[in-house]
Amino acid sequence: MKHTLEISGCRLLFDERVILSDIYLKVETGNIVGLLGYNGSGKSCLMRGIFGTLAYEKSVSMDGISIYKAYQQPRRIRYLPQHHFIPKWLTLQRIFRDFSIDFSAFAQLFPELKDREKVRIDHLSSGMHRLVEIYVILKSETQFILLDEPFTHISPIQMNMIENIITSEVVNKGFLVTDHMYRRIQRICTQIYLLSDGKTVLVKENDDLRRLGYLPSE
Amino acid sequence: MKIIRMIRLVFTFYQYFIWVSVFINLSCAFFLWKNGISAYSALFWFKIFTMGASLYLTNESRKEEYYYFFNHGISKKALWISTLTFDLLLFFVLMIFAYNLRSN
Repeated sequence: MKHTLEISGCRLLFDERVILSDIYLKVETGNIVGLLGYNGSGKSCLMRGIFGTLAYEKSVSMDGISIYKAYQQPRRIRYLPQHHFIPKWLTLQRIFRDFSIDFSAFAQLFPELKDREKVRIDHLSSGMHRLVEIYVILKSETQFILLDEPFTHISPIQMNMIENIITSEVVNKGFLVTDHMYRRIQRICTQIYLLSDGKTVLVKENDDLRRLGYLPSE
Repeated sequence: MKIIRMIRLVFTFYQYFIWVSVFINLSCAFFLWKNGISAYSALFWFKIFTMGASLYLTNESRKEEYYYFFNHGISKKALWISTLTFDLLLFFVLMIFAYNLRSN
C-alpha cells in the first residue's frame, strides 16, 4: 500500500523576514524527493516543521489525515537532523537495541566497526559517529524519513554505501532529502525542489538551478 | 516491550543530570539531618531552583540530542515531567529518611 506525506500552507517569519511562505511538497512511499536550497533558506526549518518539533503555521498530512506533531508517531516518520543527535555515552549495542536494528548486518557492511558493539558512540570518529546515526534512521521501521544533510562529514565510499541503503530502503519508505551534494541528490531523487525565497520550485535540470541562482551561471 | 523501552529511554534522558541531582538530594538530606525540620522549607525551594537550573542548562546545551528521543516518539514535555517527578520523589524519600534518622 502506498502512503503519502503532504506539506502545504507553511508560514514562518524570523524578525519579519519571510523564511517559508509558499510551500507544497508531496512525498510518497517508493519515492525520494530532494530539497535543494542556499544556506539559511529554511530547509532545516521546513523539515523540523514537518516533523513537528518547530512550531509555525503549516499543514502536514499523512494519507490525507492532518497531523500536528508527526514525531509522536515514529512508526510513520523519523528525522535525521543535521548535527549529532545521539547521547554521547550510549554504546552502539544500546543504540541498535533502541531502534530494534540488527548490529551484525551493520558490521557486515562496515567491517571496521565489527567487534565494537560495546563502544560508546563518542569514542568513534566524527564520520563514523555520523554513519551510525544515518544507518539507524535509514533502517528503522517507519514509512517516511526526513534526511537533513546525510552526505556531510562522511567519506565518498561511505556516501556510496549510504546511497545504496537509501535506494534499497525506498521500496517501503518515502524520503525527503536535503544536501548540498546536489549531483548526488539529482542521481537518487525522483523529484527535486529548490527552496528559494521561501517557496518551493520544482526543478528538472541544471538550467533551472542556474536560472534560480542555486548554481553559478556558465 | 514498548513500555520497557520507554522507561529505558526516559532513564537515558535522566542521566543528563542524575549525578548533580543525586549530589543535591544527598546534600539536602544531610542538612535536614544536621539542622532539623526548620531547614526543610529552604531546602525544598533550593531543590526546586536546582531542578529549574537543570532544565535550563540541559535545554541550552543538549538541544540536538532531544532528537534521539523525538525519533522514538517521546516529547520534551514527557521527558521532563517524568524525570523531574521521579527526581522530586527521590528528594522526598531522602528527606523523610533523614528526618527519621534524626528523630531516632
